Amino acid sequence: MKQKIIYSFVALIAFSGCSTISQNEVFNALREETSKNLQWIKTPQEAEIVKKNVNDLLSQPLNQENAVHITLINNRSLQQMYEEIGLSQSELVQAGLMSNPLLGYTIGRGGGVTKSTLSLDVALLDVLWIPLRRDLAGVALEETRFRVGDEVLRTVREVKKAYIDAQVAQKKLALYEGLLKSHEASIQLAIRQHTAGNLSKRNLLKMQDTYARARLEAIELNRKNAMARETLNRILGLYGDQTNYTLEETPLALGIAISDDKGLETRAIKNRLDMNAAIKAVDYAARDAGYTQKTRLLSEIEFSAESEKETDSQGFNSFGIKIPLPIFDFGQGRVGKAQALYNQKVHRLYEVAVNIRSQVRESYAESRYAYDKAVETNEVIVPVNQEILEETKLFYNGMLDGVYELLEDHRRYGEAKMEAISAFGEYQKAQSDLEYVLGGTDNGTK
Amino acid sequence: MGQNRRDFLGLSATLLASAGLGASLKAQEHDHGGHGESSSPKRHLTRVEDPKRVLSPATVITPQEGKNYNPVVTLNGWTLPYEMKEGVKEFHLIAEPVVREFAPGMVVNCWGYNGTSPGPTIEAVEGDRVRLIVTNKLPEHTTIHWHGLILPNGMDGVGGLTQPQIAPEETFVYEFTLVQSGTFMYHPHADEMVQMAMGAMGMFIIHPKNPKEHRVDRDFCFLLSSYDIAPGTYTPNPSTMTEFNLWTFNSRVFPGIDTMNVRVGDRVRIRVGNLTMTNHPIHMHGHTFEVSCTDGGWVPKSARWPEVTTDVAVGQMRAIEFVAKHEGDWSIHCHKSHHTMGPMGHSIPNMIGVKQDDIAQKISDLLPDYMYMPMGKSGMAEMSDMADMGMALPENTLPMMSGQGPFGPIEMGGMFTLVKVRKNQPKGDYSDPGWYTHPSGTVAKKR
Ligand SMILES: [Cu+2]
Repeated sequence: MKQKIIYSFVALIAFSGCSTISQNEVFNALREETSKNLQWIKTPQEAEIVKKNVNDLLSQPLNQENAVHITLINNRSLQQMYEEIGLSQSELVQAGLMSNPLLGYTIGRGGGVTKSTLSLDVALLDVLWIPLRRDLAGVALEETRFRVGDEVLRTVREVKKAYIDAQVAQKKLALYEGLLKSHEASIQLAIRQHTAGNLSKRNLLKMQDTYARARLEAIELNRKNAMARETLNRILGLYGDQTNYTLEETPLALGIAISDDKGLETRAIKNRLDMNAAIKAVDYAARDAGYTQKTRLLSEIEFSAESEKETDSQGFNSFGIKIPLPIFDFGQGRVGKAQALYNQKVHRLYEVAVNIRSQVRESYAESRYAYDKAVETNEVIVPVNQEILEETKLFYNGMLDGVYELLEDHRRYGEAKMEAISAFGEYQKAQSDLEYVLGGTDNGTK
Repeated sequence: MGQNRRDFLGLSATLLASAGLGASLKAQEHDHGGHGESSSPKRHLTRVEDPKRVLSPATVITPQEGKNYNPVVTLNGWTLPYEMKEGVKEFHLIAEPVVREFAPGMVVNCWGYNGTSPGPTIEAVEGDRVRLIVTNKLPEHTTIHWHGLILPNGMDGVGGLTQPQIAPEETFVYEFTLVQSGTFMYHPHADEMVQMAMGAMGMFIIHPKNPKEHRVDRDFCFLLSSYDIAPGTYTPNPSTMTEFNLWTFNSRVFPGIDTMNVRVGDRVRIRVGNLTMTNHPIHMHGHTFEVSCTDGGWVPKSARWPEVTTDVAVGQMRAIEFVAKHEGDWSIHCHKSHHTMGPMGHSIPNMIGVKQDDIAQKISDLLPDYMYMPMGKSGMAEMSDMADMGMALPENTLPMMSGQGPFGPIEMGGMFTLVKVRKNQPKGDYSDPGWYTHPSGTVAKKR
């Protein structure tokens, strides 16, 4: 008897303790899923290494790729998310353990005989529950992994957009310097004209007003630059001297616009990690409620049409999806709660899918129109204003226009260039949105 | 000459290339109404491929032979030939769109007659019966009013009042007897504002029956007309009332106006008609003159007085006469200084006395590919230097002032030309003798 107990004890330990997926394995899976070079800071040593890497990256002019890289290793909000994996994985380990056995030792005296009993009370019911608990915890871990992955991609989107904003703000500020110089030349000439007795005070005041507004615009562009830069700093997780980095001097470019939205929704539904997380949540709830055949069920989340159900078991119709009824018998209260949770998750899944599809259409339109606007601005508005300036030079040559018109059209051309930079930035941001909305860059592996 | 006058002007359709607008704007092509046959494809008239072939409408001298009068010389123009038909002098006028070179570097989409604006000068003799056959090739109806002539009311050419308008493609006949002599004009009296703003007008000279009466050795004539042609464009804006930028003698501007070359001792007449919308005080250097003929006819000798400037008011004609006594190159021009300027901006900032050098450096830095020159600090004469330096101007736009003389830039434009008086100018020779050679010690010099 005693030996028997020991055997089963050993068996239970073995059953629960082995074959649990490690945190690193989960994290590696996450890396693969997001196709990103993630770094999980778990020790002070690792924190030091990350800091060194970040500083190395910041020692050269920062490009967008490195900004993304820094964020993934240095953004502490992401690090918090990575710990979610730790939490989930710990729960998985915990789920495999039996409740601690109660070790009892009783000494009884009776009839001059002392009888000592060593008893090991093991919650035998636990043994029955362990597989289900491990099952559930495994699903929960997968859900967490997807959720974290989604957060990673969201953050990638945010840092890309913040980088573009910072770049646009800086470029516009630089361009505006030329415009401000042009305004300065105008007001200086006007002051001298006034001093020479050639310009009325009223007209001088009007020009002063124009100049003051130009200076206001310069202040505003400086403000926007500081704000954009700070947003980027925050996402990069930088402080102190680290914030003194420079941005790489690359011209903003237009990629090739996605010219067709065919298949994008399906691609997003398939690839989006929040979609996958929502599926896992339904899976979890189904298992928790004791529903079986969940994989069958989840493959129907296309919502496009009701597909034919296998009705070999009893079923009930829930929200357009036929759910096979479980055979397990729970207490009524638990069944009710689990079913409610399950229903919630199904609604949620539905909501996520509908929203993703909408986001795909929205982002596609946004990127298409932003592309067209950028092309129109860059290929028509900028050259047209350049030509206007060239013509105005001819008019100036012929004394048909004065120097103020010349300077004005010089600024007009500068403003067109600034508009083009904004338009390029808007397009690139729309691309970052679209990339996220589609579930990451499509490298064909997903 | 009558048969090939259009070739003479070099104006054939093949010369007229479409404007070099970007392909993207092709859809906005306009029909420059009436410039083409109605069946021909639409085309632009805004750029002449080989301007040299259209250019420099010459002053064509009508030979004296066979004439019982001394023919006039139309500056940069010619006299309309006629045919005698049973005792009637028959003239053919075709009202039509034309291209006129105002001066080298600028051609204009005008309306005129027989391929030219102003139209050819009609010359006849007092007492002649004339038949004027007018064909309308303009895109809209027209008439011709014979300005200053005594004629039957029904021949007066006022659309709606004395005749129906001549519709496009229609031909009307005017016929009357010339009962006076003097200097007259012809111009439309139907949508007159537009048609005259486009250059439709001409001179009508009636010589005295007796050629000895009012005889002169050289008899010049030209019309004053004004245009508003925005820099960079080719077509006058007919809705302009006061802001004209091109002031012309016979739709030509200096230095595109032929000089009037005469021989010392010649009695010279210069006839001027004004069809602009303002008066022009015509001033001549080097001689005093008398107004010998107004729009009403000859001024009695006793009523003439000597002067050097005569104002030609709107719708008036004045003929001045003088004996060319003083050798030299004498200016003759409108004395409104803006009328001897080419196109210029009238709202450009006044920079007289404004120091700009340091700011000019700043502006040059802002416009790296441009040779920026500050203008107007000490006046606008540097404009002339810029024109000489070949500084580019808007398409089809003349500099505000130009012209090179033997001593430097002449700095003129618009209503300005010269009377060249030479001892050895042969009789009947109207060709340009070149710059005057001053006797030594007779030129102002630096001390
Ligand atoms: Cu004048």
